[in-house]
Amino acid sequence: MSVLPTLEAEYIITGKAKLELRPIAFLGKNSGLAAQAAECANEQGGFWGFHDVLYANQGGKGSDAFSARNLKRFAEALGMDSAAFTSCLDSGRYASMVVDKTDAASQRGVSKTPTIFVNGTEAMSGLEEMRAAIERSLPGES
Amino acid sequence: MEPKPAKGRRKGGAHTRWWVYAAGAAGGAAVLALFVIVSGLAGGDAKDPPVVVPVPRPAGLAQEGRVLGAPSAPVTITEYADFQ
Repeated sequence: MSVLPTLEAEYIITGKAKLELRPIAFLGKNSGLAAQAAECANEQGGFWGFHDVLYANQGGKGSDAFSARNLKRFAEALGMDSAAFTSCLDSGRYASMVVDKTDAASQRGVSKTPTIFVNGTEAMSGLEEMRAAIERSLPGES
Repeated sequence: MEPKPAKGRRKGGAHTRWWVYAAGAAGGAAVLALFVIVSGLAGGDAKDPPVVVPVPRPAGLAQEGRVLGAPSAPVTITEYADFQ
């Protein structure tokens, strides 16, 4: 289970931390397509809503859950401008960006997902390890 | 003792059955048409699972592009994620 909802409640909503998500694509074609779709959603200010819908409708490695057709259905379900979203996704304009970001992540030592850094230092992705890393990074802590 | 056939009902039976079948066929066609229309409006077809849309985050929570949370927050969590 993702630790994100807990971290969000304890640290992000309370203003102690912010989360920057970097979509990369290790797991095949639809993985890359989903990352591109998130960028298209971002054009409409809907990155996080789309992020949540992706996780709620995941199908696992190699599944068809993130086919172009389904990604467009997700955007439609979120009330996005479907024509603009479809145009963006079909254009493939974020394809090279996703590849570049995945390469950059690999060069940084990222070999699995999720990989998490807290103030630039890699942290274990378990909840308690994450809590400890965040607490250590808060002002006044050392 | 065997039950006797109901004479009155038997006389009009063929007509009754015809109307029952016709009404059933019309009803089935109506349901099918409604299903096709609803599927079309939803942008999918019968085999598409419904899209699960989670509850949106609180309106007061800052969302700037790929960053969630207050820009001034002292801790930055960077997550590399593969959606698949």
